[in-house]
Amino acid sequence: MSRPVSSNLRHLKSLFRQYYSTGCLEEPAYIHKREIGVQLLGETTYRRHLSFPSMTMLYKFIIENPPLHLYYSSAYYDDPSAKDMGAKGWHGSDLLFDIDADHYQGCNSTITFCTRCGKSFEGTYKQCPSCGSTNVIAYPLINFDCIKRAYNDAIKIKLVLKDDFGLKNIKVYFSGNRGFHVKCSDDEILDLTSDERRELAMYISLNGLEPALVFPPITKRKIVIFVSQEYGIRKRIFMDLDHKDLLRRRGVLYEADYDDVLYSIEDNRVDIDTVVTMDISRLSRFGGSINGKSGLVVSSVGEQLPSSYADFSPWDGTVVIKPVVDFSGLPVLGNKLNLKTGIPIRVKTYVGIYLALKGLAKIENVERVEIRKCMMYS
Amino acid sequence: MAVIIDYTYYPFIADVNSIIEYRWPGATLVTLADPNGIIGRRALRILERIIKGKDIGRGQRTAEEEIVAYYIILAITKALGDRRLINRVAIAYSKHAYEKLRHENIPTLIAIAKRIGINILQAKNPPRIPVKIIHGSPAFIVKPFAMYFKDYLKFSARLTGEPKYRIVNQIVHRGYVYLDKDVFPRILEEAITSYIVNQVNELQVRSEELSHIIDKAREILGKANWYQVRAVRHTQQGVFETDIIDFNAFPPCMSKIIEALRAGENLSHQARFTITAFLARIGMDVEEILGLFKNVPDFNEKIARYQIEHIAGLRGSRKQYMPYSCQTMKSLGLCPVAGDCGAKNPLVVYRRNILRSKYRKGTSSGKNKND
Repeated sequence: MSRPVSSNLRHLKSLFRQYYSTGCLEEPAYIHKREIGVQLLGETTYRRHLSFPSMTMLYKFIIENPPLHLYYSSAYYDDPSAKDMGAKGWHGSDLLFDIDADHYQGCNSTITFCTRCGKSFEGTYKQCPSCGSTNVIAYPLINFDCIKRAYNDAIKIKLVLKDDFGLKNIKVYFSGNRGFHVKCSDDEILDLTSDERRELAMYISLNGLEPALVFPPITKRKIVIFVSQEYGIRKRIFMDLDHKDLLRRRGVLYEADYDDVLYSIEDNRVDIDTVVTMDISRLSRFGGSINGKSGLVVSSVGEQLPSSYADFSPWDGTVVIKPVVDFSGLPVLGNKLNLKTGIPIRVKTYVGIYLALKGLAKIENVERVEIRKCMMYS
Repeated sequence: MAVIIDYTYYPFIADVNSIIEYRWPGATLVTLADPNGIIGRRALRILERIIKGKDIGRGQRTAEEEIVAYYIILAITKALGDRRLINRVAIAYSKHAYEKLRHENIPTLIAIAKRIGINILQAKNPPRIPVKIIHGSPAFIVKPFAMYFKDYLKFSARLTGEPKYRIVNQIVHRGYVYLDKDVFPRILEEAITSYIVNQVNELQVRSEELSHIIDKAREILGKANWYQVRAVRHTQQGVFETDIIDFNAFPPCMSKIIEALRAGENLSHQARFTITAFLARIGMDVEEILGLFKNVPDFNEKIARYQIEHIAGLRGSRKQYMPYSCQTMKSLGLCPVAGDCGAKNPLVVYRRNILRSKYRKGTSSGKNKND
C-alpha cells in the first residue's frame, strides 16, 4: 500500500499528464529560440535553460515529466540552453506587463493554517501564533471581483499600447492564479532596452506623471482647459471626466477643475510590476499551461472575461479529497466548503485540486474526473 | 517657411566629399589637413577649445571651411582612438548645434532631424495644450513634432531625470510622441551626439596620411594636460583599490556612473549629485572626487569643487547629503539592475559587498587549509 502523500502526488501527476496529452498549449513564436523553464510535480526547484526544437519535443518531455509550472522566456536567443545568460546571444524580447489582483484594496486577505495544531488565523504568519510551528500554510482569499478589476486594468494596458503606441500583436492572459499578463510581440518592441521598457511601464502606470506639465492649471480658479480633439493621456482623462460628468462646455472648448483632473489621473493609474516589464530575460507562463499554484489554466482572454474561476478549470467532474485542516465555510474559488481533518468529501475537480495544491487536502479518488477541451476565450 | 540650414552649426550633416570637390577641386581631406594651412589650423584651434571645455566658437571661416575642419577633427579623434575625446568632441558639436536649433523654424528642425536618420513628421493637426487665457482667449503650447516613440525613448534616455523629457509627460498617439519647440531641440541635441559618435566609429582613417596634424593634435592635448588627467585618474584608482575605497564593491549603479565619468560622458545633474554624495559618504576626499570629474565635458574646477564640498557637508548648511535611495535611482533611470540589490540605498550594497569580500577572503584561506 502506498503512503497518502505519494498517492496524492500520483493523482496530480496523472491528472496533469492527461491534460497535457490533449495538446492545449499555445505555441510561442520561435519556440526553438526560447529558454524553457519548468518545476516538475514533486520537485521543489526549477529547471532552467532548457530548450526544445519543436512543440512535439516539448510535449514528449512534459508528458513524461508533468510540470507543476511551465514557462518560456520572453527573450529570443541564439542558444537558449546556454547556462550563462551572456552566452545565450540575446536577440530581443516580447514586452510584458504583469498585474497582480492582490494589489487592490480588499483583495489581499489571507488565512494562515497551522498543520501542526490545526488552528487557523486571519492574516499571514510565518509561525503559528498558537503553537509556534513553522508548518503553516498561507491561504489567499481572492474573490472573482478582484480578478475582474485586474482584467479591466489589463484591457486598459492593451488599449494604451494600441492607441498610443500603435502596437498590434497584444494578448491578454489570465495567469491562472490571481492576475493577468499582457504580452506584446510586435517587431518594433523586441529590441527595446531595459531602461526603455521602464519608461513604457511608467507611461502605463502614470508614475512620474507631472500633472502640471500635461494638464497645466490656469486662472486663479485652477481650471484645466481641453480642446475637442485631444490625444494620448489627455484624451483618456478628457473622456473619463466626460463620463463622470465633470466637464463644462466653454464655447468650442471644455474645462474641468484641476482637482477633478488629479482624481481622474488617480483613477487611470494601472498598478503594474515595473520589474517584470524591465526584465528582458523574464520567464512567463505558457498559454494553455496549468498554473501549479491553483490548478487553473493560463488562458488568453478577449473582450469578455469568463464569469467565474470554474471557467478556467481544465477538468470537469468530481474528486474525493481528504482535508488536513478544520474549517467551516472556507471560500474556495467561489465555493464555500466545510473541511474536517481526515473526513473524505467529494467536491468539484477544480476545487479539490486547488485545495490539494495549496496543501490543505489530499486527493483520494479521481475516477469521476473528465478532461475538458482546450479553452479559448479570445 | 523655408528650410535654411547653416552648416556652420551642423557640419555633421554635410557631404564633405562633394564640398571639397566643388570648392577645392583636386584636393582631399588629407591635403586640406595640413597643420599649417588655414583649415588645418582652424581644426586644431577648435580641438583645443573643445578639450579646454570652451564652446566651439564662431571663427572667421566660411561654412565650407568649418565643415572640412569638423571632418578633420573627426579623423584626428578616430586616429587617436580616445573614447573620452570622441565623446567630448561629439558633445561639444551637439551643444554648438543646440544653440542654433533653439531658434530654428519647424521645417528646418524637421529637415535636420531627418538628415540624421530620425523618424519624424510634422503634425498636420498637432496636439495643443491650453496654458493660459489672454483677453478671454486661450493661448496654447503646440506640439508639431511627431517623433516615432522608439527614437524618442532612445534619445531621451539620458534626460529622464528631468520630468519634462520623460515619455510619461508627453502626448503619445499611434506610435508618435508629440513634442513642442522647447523639448524637441534638446532631444535633437542628444540625437546629434549619438550621430557624431557613430560617424567617428564608421570613419575610415589612414593615420599615416594624417601624421602631421595628428602629431600637432597630440601636442595640444599634452599642453592642455589631457593625458595628465588620465594619469592622475589611474594613480587614484590604484590608491583606492589598495587603501580604503574598493571599486569592486561598488553597487552596479555607481559603477555605471563611474564608468561614464571615466569615458568623459556628459552626465545628468542627478547622476553627478548621487555619485558625489556616495563617494563622499564612503570616505573619498574632495580632491579625489574632483579628479574623477575632470573628465566631464563641461568641467569647471571652481564650480565643481564648490558643489562637491557642499554635498560632502563642508560648506553651507554643513549637511552631508545621502546618495539617492534605490527607489529614487530606479525612478531616475540610474539603476541598471532589472530586479534589485536587496537594499534600500546603494551605500548599504557597498558596505555589504565590502563585508562579503572580507568574509570571502577569510573563508578562502580556510578552504586552502583543508586542501
